[in-house]
Amino acid sequence: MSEKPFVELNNINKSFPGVKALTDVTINFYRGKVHVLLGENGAGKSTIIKVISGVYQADEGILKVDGQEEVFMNTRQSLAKGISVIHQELSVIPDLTVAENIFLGREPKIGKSGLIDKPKMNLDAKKLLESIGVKINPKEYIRKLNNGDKQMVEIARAISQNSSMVIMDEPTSSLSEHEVQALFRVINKLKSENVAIIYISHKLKEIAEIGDHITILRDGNVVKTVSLSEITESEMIALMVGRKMTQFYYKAENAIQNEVVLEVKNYTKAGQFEDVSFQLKKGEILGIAGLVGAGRTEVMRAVFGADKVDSGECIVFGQPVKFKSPKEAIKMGIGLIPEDRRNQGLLLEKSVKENTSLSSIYANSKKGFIDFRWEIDSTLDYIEKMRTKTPSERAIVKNLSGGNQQKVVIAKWLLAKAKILIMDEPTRGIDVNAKAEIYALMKKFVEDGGSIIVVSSELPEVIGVSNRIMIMREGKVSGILDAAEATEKDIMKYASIHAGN
Amino acid sequence: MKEKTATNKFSAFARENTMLLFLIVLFLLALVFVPRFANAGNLKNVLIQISINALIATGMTFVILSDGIDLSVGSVAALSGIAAAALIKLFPDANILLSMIVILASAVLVGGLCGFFNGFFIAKLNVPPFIATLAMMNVARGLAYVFTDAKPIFGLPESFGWVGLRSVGVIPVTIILMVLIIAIAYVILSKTCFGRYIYAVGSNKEVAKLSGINVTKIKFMVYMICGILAGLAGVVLASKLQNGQATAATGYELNAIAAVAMGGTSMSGGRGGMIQTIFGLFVIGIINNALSLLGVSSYWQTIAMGVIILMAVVIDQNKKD
Repeated sequence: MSEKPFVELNNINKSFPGVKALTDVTINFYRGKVHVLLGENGAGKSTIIKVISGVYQADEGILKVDGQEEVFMNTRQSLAKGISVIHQELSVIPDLTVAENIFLGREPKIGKSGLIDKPKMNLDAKKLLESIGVKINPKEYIRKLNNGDKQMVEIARAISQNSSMVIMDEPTSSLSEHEVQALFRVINKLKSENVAIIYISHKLKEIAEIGDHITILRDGNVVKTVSLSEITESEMIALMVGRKMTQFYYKAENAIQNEVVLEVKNYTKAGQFEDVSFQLKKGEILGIAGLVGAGRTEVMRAVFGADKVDSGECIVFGQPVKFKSPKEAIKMGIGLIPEDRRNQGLLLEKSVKENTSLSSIYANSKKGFIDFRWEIDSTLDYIEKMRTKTPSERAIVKNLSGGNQQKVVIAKWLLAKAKILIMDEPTRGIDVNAKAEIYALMKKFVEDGGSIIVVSSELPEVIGVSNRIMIMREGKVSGILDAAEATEKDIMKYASIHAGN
Repeated sequence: MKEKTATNKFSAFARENTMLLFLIVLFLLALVFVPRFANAGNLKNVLIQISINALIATGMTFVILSDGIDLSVGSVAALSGIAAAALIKLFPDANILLSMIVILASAVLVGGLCGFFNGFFIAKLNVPPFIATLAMMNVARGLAYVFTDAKPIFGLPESFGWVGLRSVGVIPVTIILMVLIIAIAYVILSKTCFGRYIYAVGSNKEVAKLSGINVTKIKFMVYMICGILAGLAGVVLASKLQNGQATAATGYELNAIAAVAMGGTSMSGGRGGMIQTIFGLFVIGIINNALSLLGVSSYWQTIAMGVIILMAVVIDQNKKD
């Protein structure tokens, strides 16, 4: 590697309120090489991309592009230096044509008239698509393309801007095997044209196939940067998860009783999950691990009656149920704490009081008239019990911190007398102290006879709080482990997509 | 927190009650500068003038709070008025009680039915409220023309005019009806679970659903309520005019939306309520009345109304944070 790197990160540090996202990150990215970033969710991959592309600015450290020190204030500035990002959520516009998408904002004009030169645009698009070896009609509307072709259009757009670096964030997460091979051909073509590529993926087999270098990240630190020929899959997993367990998890060891409170049998929904079966006992915390997109959230929403299933059975407290709405699930004592707290868990513009009482206000009303005394008293009661930091019960929840917002969501379900809590990423975006408090609340809940299903992408958390861990991979249950014996390595083995599986 | 100064307190109050201050200033200006505005008779006029709009705007408040809109209210009002007029013609000697029954029945049946269809298409079939009620606006108006052959229905019994023209003691029946409906709406929106659910649905449908609220039912209900109140406004109008005609209440949907928006109820739902709508109604009522007394032509009144609506909402939108 005598050649000079295209992009250099030197001791980059980046913090967000309550979280250190990147610590002393130093990586060099070279032209004509595919550089893989690997790490668990929250390890810092996305933050690195955002620092390079100018979405965020580093707090400390130096970013050099082509040997020149740069501070990009936005993506336009990084684009001007030849850095394009292809995001996981495709950002092509469905109701424009392929050519219109590729040249969006840079349409060729007829002379100085301001009118778009459509024939030229279509011809340029055609040449461009041919140059990366894909056959897509430039006049076709994006909404008629499959995901693989949409991805190709994004890549075509990236290289049409004469990019020297293309960053791909989980480009294959929605592609079929066939489409993945087409993508790899394009990537190899880009390599041969001396483009630097940053490639993010959880799929170890793919990484081994396409990558030249790999940087493994953990908790915002670079664990190791190495050539891919010098590392095995199991070494990658070990480096990715090899963290010491911290001691703030509160496991309720003796709460489990024999009664099965929830049983799901063969739950299937086309394109989302298949043949999912599990049991939840009284006093148990069942962890659900897996990669983002493995279908965990979808299964939980279905159990809660928020979405329909194609087939399968659900038995709650010994009673077969088919919930048509969350209302019915709530009546049976189930509560859902959604992954997206701000858009699904809370009425952000409403007060702590209104949010806390929302699911139980009718049951405690006087013939439909709100019992305001009850509402204030019970809200204050939970604010005190859960040590929620809020100026008053009338404070707007939008203004509370993430941890305190989550306490309001939990209080809502406790007040509604939920017996089974489904918690989807309950500590996402929450600082360490608030996390510990939420774990303590979970322990208390099961000790009082409740049961919890906790979906989490943080392995130490799943292992730390659960009694058993169910692992999902591509919509299916790939394993159920006893948490006392499970290691992060075991879980990653079941969660990752390997060769041969 | 506790040692807020008096000025701070006032500015906080002002920020939260822009419309109230706006209304007070407007009222004082009218008192000082508009001759004859302060007469008891004139103030009663203001109330009578806003009463029809008040009934429609009350229903509109429910709909807008749930993050919807109802453009069909004017047409629904016309259709209900025609239904009531046609029905009462069958009883030339009707007494007040019979007239009242006919009036209420027409409002509830015609308005309720139109609201039912709005609710059905919006809540069950996911048609955007703007489109569904735009369609109903056309259908109801068209039915009104078809039914009357575009000729007003005249010659109604005198008792039919009781609601629109008569008084109980010194207070006109229209005003009593308006106060009653507003009071009921206020109680529903602020004191009942149903009201709370309307706010929740308007704030965030997904959160409402995941919290166990039957979002479909709530949406259905608000359009039913809005339809019935539009129907009521229509029959009161027919009673007042002593006829039923297809052109009645044209453009009333916009007056109602203006009153709700001007009061400060969020057009994207979840925030606002009857108090705000009352402010909006009074601001519009006072401006119209004052300009009339000043001899401003109705063309200019329309322009003034447009400017003031815009001003009020600009102030309201930019006070946040």
